[in-house]
Amino acid sequence: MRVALFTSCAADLAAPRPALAAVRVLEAMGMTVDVPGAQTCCGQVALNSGHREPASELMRRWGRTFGEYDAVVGVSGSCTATVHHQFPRVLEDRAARLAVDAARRTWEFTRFVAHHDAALDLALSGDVTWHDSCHMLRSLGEKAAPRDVLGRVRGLRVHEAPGSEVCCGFGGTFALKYPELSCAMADRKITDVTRTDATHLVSSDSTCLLHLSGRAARRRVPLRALHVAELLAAALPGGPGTLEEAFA
Amino acid sequence: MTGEDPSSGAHAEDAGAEASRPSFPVRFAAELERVGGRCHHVPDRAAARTVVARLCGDGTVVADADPLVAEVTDGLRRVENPWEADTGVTTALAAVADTGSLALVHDREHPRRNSVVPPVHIALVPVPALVGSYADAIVRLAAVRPAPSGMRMVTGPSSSGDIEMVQVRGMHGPLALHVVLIGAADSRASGSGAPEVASE
Amino acid sequence: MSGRSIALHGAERVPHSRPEWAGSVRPGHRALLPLVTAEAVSRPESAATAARLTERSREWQDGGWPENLVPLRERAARIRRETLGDLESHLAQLAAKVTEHGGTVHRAATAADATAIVRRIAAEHSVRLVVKSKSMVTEEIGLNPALEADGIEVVETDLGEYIVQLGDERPSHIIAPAVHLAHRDVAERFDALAGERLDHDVTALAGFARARLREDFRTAGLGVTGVNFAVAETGTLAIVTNEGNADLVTSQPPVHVAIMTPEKVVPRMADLGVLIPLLSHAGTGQRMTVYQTLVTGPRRAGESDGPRELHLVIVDNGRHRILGTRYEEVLACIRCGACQTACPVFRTLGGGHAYGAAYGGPIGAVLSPLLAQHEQDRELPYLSSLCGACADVCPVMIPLPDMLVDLRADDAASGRRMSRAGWRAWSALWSNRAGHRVSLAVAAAAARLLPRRFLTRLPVARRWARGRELPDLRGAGRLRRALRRRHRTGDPA
Repeated sequence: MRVALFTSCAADLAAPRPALAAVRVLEAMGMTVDVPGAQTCCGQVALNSGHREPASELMRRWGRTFGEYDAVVGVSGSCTATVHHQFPRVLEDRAARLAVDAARRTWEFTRFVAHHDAALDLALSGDVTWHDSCHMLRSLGEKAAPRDVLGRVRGLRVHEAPGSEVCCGFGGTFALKYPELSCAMADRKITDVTRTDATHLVSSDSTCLLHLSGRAARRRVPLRALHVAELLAAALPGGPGTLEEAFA
Repeated sequence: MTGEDPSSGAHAEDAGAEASRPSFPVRFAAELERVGGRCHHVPDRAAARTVVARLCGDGTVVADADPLVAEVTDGLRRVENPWEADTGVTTALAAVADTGSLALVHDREHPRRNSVVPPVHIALVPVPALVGSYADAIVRLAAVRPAPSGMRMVTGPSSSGDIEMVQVRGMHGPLALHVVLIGAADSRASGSGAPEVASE
Repeated sequence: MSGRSIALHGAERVPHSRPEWAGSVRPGHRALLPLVTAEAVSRPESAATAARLTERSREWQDGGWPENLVPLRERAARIRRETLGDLESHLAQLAAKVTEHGGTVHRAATAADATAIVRRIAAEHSVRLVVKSKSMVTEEIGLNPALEADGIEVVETDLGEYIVQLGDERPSHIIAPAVHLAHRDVAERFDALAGERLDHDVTALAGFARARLREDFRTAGLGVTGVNFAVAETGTLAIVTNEGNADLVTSQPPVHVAIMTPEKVVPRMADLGVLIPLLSHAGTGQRMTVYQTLVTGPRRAGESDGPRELHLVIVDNGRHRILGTRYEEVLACIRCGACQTACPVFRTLGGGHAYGAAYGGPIGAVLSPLLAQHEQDRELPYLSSLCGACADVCPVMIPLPDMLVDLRADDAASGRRMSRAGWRAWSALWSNRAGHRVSLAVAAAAARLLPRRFLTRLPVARRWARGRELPDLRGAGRLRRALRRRHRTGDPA
């Protein structure tokens, strides 16, 4: 099966590793992975900042880029949610049909893995906790797939944090408009996470993780954050065996 | 209690489950106690009188001008001013098995203040006045003709959650609520009629 | 004629230790939200409030909707929307029924019109003391200061409202007005009011307020309430409380003024059987709130209590401008406050004061700018991380996050040309493969070449760096290079 990887702009700017890891995992599942070079941004940042026109420009471009694929896999839960929820709301003209159609064939990464993985052999010992990123949880309604996928990794223990469903305070430009508020929200999340037995915080959104690890670094709290694709790639056969070794 | 509410749209297959649920008086008592009220289920008016006399002791009482209330409160220390009364004794139009709620109707004989001013409220409820759901009670109230100027649904003693969002019992309304349920337990089957509000 | 308040006796001794933006009278102009919110977050009280609200939210809201309420929620959403579709005829029916039962109905277009009506009623009856049952619309229209300007004492009888009134504050949550205060703060206020040290047990403090307020119910010349639902088919006003204060306010004073906005109307009595259980669950996690007070006209001949006069004031205050727009559904709101309790932004701010409007939290961020009472409310839709928790808990399924996004678009379209041009330029750059590649290269080069101190002064980076380390942008564009290399050589990434 041929799939296109939708990497999100965070991968281009500051977090390339999750996208590269996702390619390895998908290939290990027997997929042929294309990473269309023409992709830029799904338009979420512009849309949520109130700029519909620039956003719909980027959304149409997204549609042209991914329109020909049978399946698109999104590395970011939030960007995938934008494609699903906002494209039909924002793109009203006929020319937009391509994008809306492609959106229907777009999977969030963990959901795709959970549905298509028959033979993946995953092993990595360690203790993690999951952060439900807001749009993946509420807009995509996806809570089960990441837990399902993490549950398939032999040796991995998943510890639920009490506020796993609570926003980390990133919120796109919200993080820039209200930095103190955004950081205070991160602090509550960091406190919840550090109270579990997990050594690593795992999520499906690099932007949440950059915000949280940036905040933790500033406060000198030892919080180690990683994208679920990175974790799964490290759990593939021939990997280091332990979470500690893989992400020291 | 199961927490299920027949008003939430009972399905046909729920009819069997409904039949196996506890009777209205049992459900009502459990729900009322859950919200801090006390239910006294007695077989007849004479027994009700004994319970009410015990609850009122030698305290002062205001009471609805109602034959049932008159009979049950006979001999108690009656006063006219509710602000001077320790206990208010009233009737109720209906009571809700699912929620422990009372439906009160106000008119000349049943002033608003008797059930809200004194620190203790005792409501006398004949078992046939029990209905299944809150929605059923609203339907009962809506059917009263002529439409009363005042009606009230009451679920437990007054309370407030305004200090640190923790519910404390006893605010402006009664600090204690007693319901004296009068009549044999089996005088009404547990299954309610068709839940009017829910059926569509 | 009426007496003077016992409840407020000694109120001048209670210190007003609140920030300006929490004041009982909304300031005409407040600092910009980024400044207010930074101050709110820095207050130690805010963290305590956040912890309380988070705990309640977990107790009441985690685990989603109870199975028995799911169908009720769908029906409620439908009832509310259908009513909005034909609001004026429901209002006409309501007004006819209230009048038929002996009440007087007043329609007011603006806040000023509504307060003028209430002032006139108070003046006609020489009212000196008003007792109120909790009402958000009276906050919205500024009723208390309007009456106080006429020399009338106004006493809030809901415990939480009484507590915030003593501290000269606005309610900080729709259904928990004093949620921003700790038990200790309440005790301090009551000690100051009493002029002595009281028993600080919560039940004892509630008992103190009960005793203080009791006499006022009897001597007030006018009782003012809001309306949770007004039933068109019967002219019945439903007021929902736990404390029983609405029952006293609507039964003891000789005149009752009920104030509502048009969207409070529901078609049928039976609708209460759907809406009130939902309101109870969503608002306070209760199966049922304690009291639903149903008022159908003033007292009848021969009745010994109930008001001799009932006035219903229906104040629009901007609602007609929302009807028929893409925001119409916001008028389905039943003011349960669930979206506030669920909102991590609202919680972290220590409640609704920092929003600077009568309504804070997600519902306030949508409704306040639409009511357009204050220019500064246009900022509110941005005060959200768009996490969507509000939509999950909304008992009538209002798509608040979508509305926040749409309101931002409306705001951006109507102002700030600079920012609009910037976003357009960015979108043009990123709609072009070369432009995208160049921008990544520039970001990486800047991250590599510029000293960190300089980087953290750049416009966007500066705000990120307030509290966070910058992400490493030296890797910008690295993904594309790695993928191209991989494509050429077939090497694993």
